Amino acid sequence: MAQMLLSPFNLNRSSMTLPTPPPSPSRERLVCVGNGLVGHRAIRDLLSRAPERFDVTIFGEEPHDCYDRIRLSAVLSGELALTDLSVANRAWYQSRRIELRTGVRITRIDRTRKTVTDDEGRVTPYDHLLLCTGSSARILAIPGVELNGVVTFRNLHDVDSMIQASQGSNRRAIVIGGGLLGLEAAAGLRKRGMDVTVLQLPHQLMERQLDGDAAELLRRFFVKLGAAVRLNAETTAIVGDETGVRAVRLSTGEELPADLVVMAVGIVPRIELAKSAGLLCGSGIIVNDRLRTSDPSISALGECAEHRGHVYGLVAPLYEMARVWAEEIVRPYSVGYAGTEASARLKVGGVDVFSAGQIEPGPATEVVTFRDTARGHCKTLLVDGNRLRGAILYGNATDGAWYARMIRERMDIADLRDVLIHGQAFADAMRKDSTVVSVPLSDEAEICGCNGVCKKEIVQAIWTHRLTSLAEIRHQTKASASCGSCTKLVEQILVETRGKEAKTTSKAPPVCHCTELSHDEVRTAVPEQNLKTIAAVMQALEWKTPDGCHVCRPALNYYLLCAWPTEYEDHTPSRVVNERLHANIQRDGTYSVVPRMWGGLTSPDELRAIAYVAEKFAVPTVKITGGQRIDLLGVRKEDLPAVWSDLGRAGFVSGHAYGKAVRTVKTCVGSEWCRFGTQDSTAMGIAIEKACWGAWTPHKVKMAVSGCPRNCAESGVKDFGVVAVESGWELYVGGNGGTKVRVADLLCKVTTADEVLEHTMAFMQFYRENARYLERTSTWVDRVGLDAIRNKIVDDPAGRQSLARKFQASQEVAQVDPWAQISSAESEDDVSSYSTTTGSKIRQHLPVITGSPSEGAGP
Amino acid sequence: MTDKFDDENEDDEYEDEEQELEPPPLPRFRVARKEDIPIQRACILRCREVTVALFRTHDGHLFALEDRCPHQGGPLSEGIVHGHRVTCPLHNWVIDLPTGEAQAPDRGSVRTFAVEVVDDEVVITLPSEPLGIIAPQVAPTA
Repeated sequence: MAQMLLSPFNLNRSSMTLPTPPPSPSRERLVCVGNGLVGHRAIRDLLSRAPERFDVTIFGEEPHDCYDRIRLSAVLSGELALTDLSVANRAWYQSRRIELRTGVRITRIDRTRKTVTDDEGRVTPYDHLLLCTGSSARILAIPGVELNGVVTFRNLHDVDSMIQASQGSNRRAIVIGGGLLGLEAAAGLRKRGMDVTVLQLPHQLMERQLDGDAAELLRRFFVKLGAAVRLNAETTAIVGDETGVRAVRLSTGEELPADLVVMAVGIVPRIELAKSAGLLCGSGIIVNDRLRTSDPSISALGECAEHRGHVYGLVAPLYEMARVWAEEIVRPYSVGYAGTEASARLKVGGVDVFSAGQIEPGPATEVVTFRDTARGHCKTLLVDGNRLRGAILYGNATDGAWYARMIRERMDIADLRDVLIHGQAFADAMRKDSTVVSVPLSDEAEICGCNGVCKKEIVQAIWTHRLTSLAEIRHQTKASASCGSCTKLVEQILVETRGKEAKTTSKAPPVCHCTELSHDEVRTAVPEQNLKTIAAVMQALEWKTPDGCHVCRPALNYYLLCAWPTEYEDHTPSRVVNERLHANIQRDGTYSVVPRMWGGLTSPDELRAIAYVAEKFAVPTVKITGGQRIDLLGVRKEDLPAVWSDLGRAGFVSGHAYGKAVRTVKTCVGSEWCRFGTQDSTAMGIAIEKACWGAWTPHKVKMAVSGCPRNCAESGVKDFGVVAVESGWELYVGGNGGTKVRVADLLCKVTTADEVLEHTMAFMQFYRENARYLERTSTWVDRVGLDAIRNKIVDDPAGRQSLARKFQASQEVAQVDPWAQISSAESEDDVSSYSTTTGSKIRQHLPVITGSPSEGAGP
Repeated sequence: MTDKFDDENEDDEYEDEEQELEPPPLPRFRVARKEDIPIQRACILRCREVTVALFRTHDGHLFALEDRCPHQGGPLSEGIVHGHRVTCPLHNWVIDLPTGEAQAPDRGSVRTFAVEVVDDEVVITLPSEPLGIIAPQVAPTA
């Protein structure tokens, strides 16, 4: 009995030509026709939701695995290799038990039997059929289109033909069509050295995305690339013979010689297969909001599908369709596709172009434009009453998403209108924080520009992982984790999503996810509870992790160092690499070394020593830094000790250009040389640097001393800046010339050099004791207020002196040159036979144990 | 597709799950005594094909990973070691030491190598004989 039941079953299976893997009878059979980006994305989205439910078979007409068609133009221009386009390799399909058949075309759908037939005559049954047949290039109905050398721009084969045609000298290409594809082909072929002419029937380029102004800039850009652009050019024939194309004939009768003709005049949805199966078709295969065709067992997605009268060509709506389809299949009727109002952010031959909404002004439309022809920037906004209707950006598309959201949500722009054209950053700066609260956010609104996180992702993360705090959201999504400018928005989303459960920052945020305590709470606890090691802090304050993380450990190390300057032993494993190696790690893993030059002064001897080191260690780059020092870039890690030792012998100490420490005191030449100088700013700078160098600080500290109010040393953008005037010295604090430029505040004016030094040291110590780790003086001054600092440093002489004395005491321990220390540690050579201190010596022969690792070995 | 859109290179995961034939077992090398590797630090082993970072965590576990962050190739051996993780010194990617996986929201992974301790000596499975071992720089004592 069992035999009889089994055998027909096996026979059926073997006749079904499903080589790998054997389908499971319990799974539903899903067949996808089309192995392009959309088909791939749909299957990926589906299997990530229901990995075990389907046996999937994908048919691809092209002989390749799925590749990124959008980036074909980069292959044509030579920026990418073919292999860079790969989206999924065979292993991807195998691991998901997907059967992939490439180079095979489906010729017939039998809806009654629920099978598809391929061009090799094989029949494959389906429970559900997905059509992602995409589109093909439109071919003009003119004579000569069949000639050799006439190509379209759709697939790898086309690109290959174009690249071949471009080889040789004086090769001429004619591109018919001045839309995105045509222009990309033109730019690519131009890069490959061909003589290129673009023929465009309308009176401007990219008439579907751009207005006349932007199109004109684009035309000029292409002319600059060396391509000819002919507008209002109607092609009537392609001329040639059996050897191939020879010329293109225009309606004017003119003939333009050509060795290659690229036909880029639009696309046509591929619906023949669907049509022959009797599925309802318009210009595409008609689908409903569930993305099902007129046969509910058959879905269609992508460029071949027509939804509510729209056939989409941009990738964003297509991916959106794929996602909705997958969700809908897994949880029927849970979601529906409602169409996507597409905005297009394009890169045409290297130029950023963006358009959303209306392009042509209507009768009631007001047009706001911004043009900078020389820089090739232009913006056009179409405004209708208090609504933004359309936006076209050329040259800089940064604000695209911002405008797109206003258009899509029909937001009231009345109080934004004055600044609208200048973009989001400007508008936000004008309106401070009120914008973010007043603007309702859509799901697709991009919240974090640094990490490309939109609102929906944040909301999903909040629900999926039950997040209640900003720190958790940062950890899960990276939103607001980089520059932090969107922190308020992210918090707002958190409150909207979780209501009362949201933990907002009425309380200072915790140091990191290892603790609930804030920086201030931790650092107060250190002296209060007499905590003297990182381990003791973690234990006493109930750290949630056994040994912290890369965020809290360096902070704790600093707080302990600051609280117990004479007792605390620096914890090397809690130092970031730069502070450990006293050099600055570079992107390639080499290091930069900056010797200290007091006040920016140097001498022939010092320069000789630096030159000697640079030559001896083949230092690839020697550069003057912004802080008036010399930077030796590209030093190999193993050379660092010898570099230090050579520099040390010449009398240099470390410039601390790598640390959260006193970096440099920049000076001008002052009264010694300058005819405007009022005081000896150079000597003052040297005195300050000698007093302050070696101090570890919450963040880097940059200083400057200028000899007169012309301020050549730029004291106004330094953490601590001194400006000499006739009657004494002005002291400035909290300046910053970096990420967020902040002009320093005048702290006070003093008369003598000793007063300058005392105020400097007191300020340093107050900053060290009061600021949070990684808080620059600029943000610190803003947070605690200038008055709080004046109270301590200016108004309370006894307090100032006490701070200065504390600073001096800690400096006695801190002012030990790390280079000298390392060099001497090196000479002791107290290390084991297996290792060396720095790797200058490498043990040659290591014992070999043969055989494979024992079972269960390793961690 | 006729046009491009801003999220064209959105998370198109490229999953590299090569399923090749079972490779011959790699040789094992005795490379160091356990205590040669300072706690929360890493030694570097240079082989011809690969540079390997050998980590010792706070609880004494040993892990060996290729010394190359999947993000931009930063030297993981110079990262801060915390728990069973290391943070790349270049851009703070956090890599799980046992699996070599980058922690969310970053994605990527780095090759791992089996480590065992035999008679207090560290034995690693490596593609070829290491040319040498480099211990981390010893901290200068104040």
